[in-house]
Amino acid sequence: MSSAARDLLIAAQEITRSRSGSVCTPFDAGLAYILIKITSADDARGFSAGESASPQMVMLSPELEALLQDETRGELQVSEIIDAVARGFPELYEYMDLT
Amino acid sequence: MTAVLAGGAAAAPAVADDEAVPHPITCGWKKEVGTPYSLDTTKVAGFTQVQCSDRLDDANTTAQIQYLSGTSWRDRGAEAVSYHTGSTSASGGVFIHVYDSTTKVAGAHLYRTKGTHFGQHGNIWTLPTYYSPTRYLTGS
Repeated sequence: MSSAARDLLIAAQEITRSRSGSVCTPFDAGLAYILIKITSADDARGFSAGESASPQMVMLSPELEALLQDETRGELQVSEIIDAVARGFPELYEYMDLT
Repeated sequence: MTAVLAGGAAAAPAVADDEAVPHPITCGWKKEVGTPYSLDTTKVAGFTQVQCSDRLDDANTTAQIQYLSGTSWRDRGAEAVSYHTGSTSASGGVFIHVYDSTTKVAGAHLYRTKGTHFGQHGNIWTLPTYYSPTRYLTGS
């Protein structure tokens, strides 16, 4: 996975933990993408969930897991994660066209 | 595709007919380790360590030295990425150790090591972002 894709998935699982979830979904990835876009890179890097009832090991939802298991196709890129958000959560995707 | 959370300690694995379901593996950050230290007057080093109950199928673990600039932490140098799936220690534990080193910033600054981890044993999991204890180091 590319460095940017890792940063996005790591931010996404912190969002999973902020709702005390145990599975990281494309919806979490979409929120993480918006968060990274609207905050400075330095702030986004330090983002971590506070008190959380999530397990230490947060799993990836089948949609996200499939992307990582498909890594033989080449390095996972951010755009593929965004694609999973667009397919699963079109209403959230409307907020992601930020420049 | 199996939806079983094979890595979760509390998850009960569902048994598929024709595929071997891996036994659950538990992983976590080794806490309070990896505080950055001086290699010499110009270089700083740190590490992150994931502790697991067994060797993994696949893993992607990073260590990244950071320093405090004003009120925000900044990455210093490139992150170190390890695909190591774990070594068994003499006491039987399995560790993934990722070492990062880079040049210091001139003057006295607060440093820490940041870690990220993805692991796979059947299913894929992530650990929370890890931050080591901090330490002031002086660079010339």
